[in-house]
Amino acid sequence: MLSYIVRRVIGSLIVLLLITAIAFALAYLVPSDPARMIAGVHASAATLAEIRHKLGLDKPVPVQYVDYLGRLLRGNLGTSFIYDRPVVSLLKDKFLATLPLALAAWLAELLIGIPLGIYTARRARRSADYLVSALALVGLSMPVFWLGLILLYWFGFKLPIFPLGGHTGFMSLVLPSLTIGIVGAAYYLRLLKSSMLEVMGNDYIRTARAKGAGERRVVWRHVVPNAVIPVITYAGIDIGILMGGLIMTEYTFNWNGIGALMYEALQQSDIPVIMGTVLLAAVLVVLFNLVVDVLYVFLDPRIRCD
Amino acid sequence: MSPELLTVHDLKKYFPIRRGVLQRTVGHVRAVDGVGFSVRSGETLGVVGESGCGKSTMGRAVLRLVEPSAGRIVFDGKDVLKLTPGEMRRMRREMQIVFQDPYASLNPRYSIGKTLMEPMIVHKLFTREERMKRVYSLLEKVGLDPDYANHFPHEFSGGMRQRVGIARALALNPRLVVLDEPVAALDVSVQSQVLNLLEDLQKEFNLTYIFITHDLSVVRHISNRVMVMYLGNMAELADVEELFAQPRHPYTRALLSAVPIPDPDYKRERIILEGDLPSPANPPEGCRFHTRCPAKRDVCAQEGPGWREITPGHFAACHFPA
Repeated sequence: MLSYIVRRVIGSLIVLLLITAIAFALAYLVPSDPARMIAGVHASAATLAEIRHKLGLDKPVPVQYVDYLGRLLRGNLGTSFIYDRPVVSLLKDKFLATLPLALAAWLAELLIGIPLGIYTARRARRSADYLVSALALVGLSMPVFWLGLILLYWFGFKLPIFPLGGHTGFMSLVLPSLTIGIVGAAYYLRLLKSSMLEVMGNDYIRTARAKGAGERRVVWRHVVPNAVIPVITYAGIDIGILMGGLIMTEYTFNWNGIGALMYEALQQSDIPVIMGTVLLAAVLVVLFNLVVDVLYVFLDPRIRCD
Repeated sequence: MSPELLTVHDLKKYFPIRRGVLQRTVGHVRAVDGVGFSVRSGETLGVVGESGCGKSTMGRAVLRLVEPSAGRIVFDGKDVLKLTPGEMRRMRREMQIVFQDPYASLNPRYSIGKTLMEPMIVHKLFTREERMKRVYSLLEKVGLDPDYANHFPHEFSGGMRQRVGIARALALNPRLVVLDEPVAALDVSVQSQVLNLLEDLQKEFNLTYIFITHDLSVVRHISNRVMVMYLGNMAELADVEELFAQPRHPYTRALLSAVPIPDPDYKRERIILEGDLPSPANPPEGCRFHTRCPAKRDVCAQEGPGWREITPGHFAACHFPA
């Protein structure tokens, strides 16, 4: 069990190293010159060369990468061109704004998707299943900004129950998280339903019925615990992605978080910020993947005794 | 002779065949099509037949693990199909099943102890300590170390898992156990151990078995009476020695002629059946076996043979029994 966790941690570290390489490469893929960005259009060649030298851009690429890793390890992600602030403190502020939204959105997805998944699995191939599954597909197909605007129009403007944007406490969380919940729930529904249907075909479910277990017990004690693994896997990656920034949602609801920062940085070619947000998003996904891998140990005895 | 514990009358199970966008029912697979028999308390009724003949569905329908389409099942004087869901759950204490695949029939998330304890929890029997004690004694009865209670199914071999499956079936002291090919997935050496275990348990607890198998040597070893099924119907039913000594139905004769005999000098005539098993969605008219029967005559294609008692206790569905 301990060796399993150690192996997973080492694997995650390797993935993180690869991600730093990708984030680093980003700076070279973006068709813009950081020196020119800083100095402006009219700067002389000498000024540009001086800035390049100051930024270390005149060194060989591998050396630059090692320098970059060294700065990363010291918690230095560079300075934003636009805000002229350390990227780390910028990310920290925006992350704290995104965090409650990501958690609320994640909960909304789970609270809508999982009960519907169980419901449709128990009524598979009946009209209730077809109806709910079709509605879920509609939800899945709606663009976040469009659904967000509709919700804002009806429940922020026509019926002014919720604020029209910004983050001003609990009420402002409702509409954006509901938007993501409606769109994201369909994944959970489909995942749980197909997994449950597969488990229900097993003899041990027939065995449970033969024991005289009631339907509720069969579903909650035998089917769901065996079917929930893929859902947990996806939920882990999902929360990582959500925390890494919700570009569309934050933009629609004027939410000043990581997603909005990423959007802005992309528009302005603020490369240190782009690199920072990409790195943060990737680290979050890897981190929650690791959390899920460790969770398996407690959920599945087959891994526990490995 | 012991009293009859279970009587089955004209049991049918049809599965609908759905086609098209609207999933309309276009026909039925007649998995079990009019089966009737009785089982006496303490005996073993063997049920044989080739794959797809409906023997497993029949076993599950008797326990209402699949809902029969028609028929009457009387267990200990009670009409099983008329029970409410609550009464049916209580009835499950009396009738249990062991499945073929010991890998699929145990919940991988449940320790062995939890699997064995669950039936007692469901039926609210015993205190916590008594349940634990009973788990240990069940494990001992099926020849497993009581320490295994804390282990999980994936740690066991097929034979050990099947012992767990048997212990689970016995946890509620049932009277009837349907054994659905309980040794087919096991190694031959383990098969005989499990068969002996089943026999010992039968004697100890006065169990009644319906033993479903396609292995004729197994059925001969363990059964008191044998029922032969073909395409959802009964072909023949007799005491085991009588059936093996004097099979009446041409299908039974063909099956028995296929049993290998470990004697190289023994000469006998193999009856090779021609053609494939017809589809149970569209069974032949008349006698269902006539398309493959070596002894068929004109009447066989037109008229079903009916279920006839040829000698006392020996039944067959054939116009021209041997």
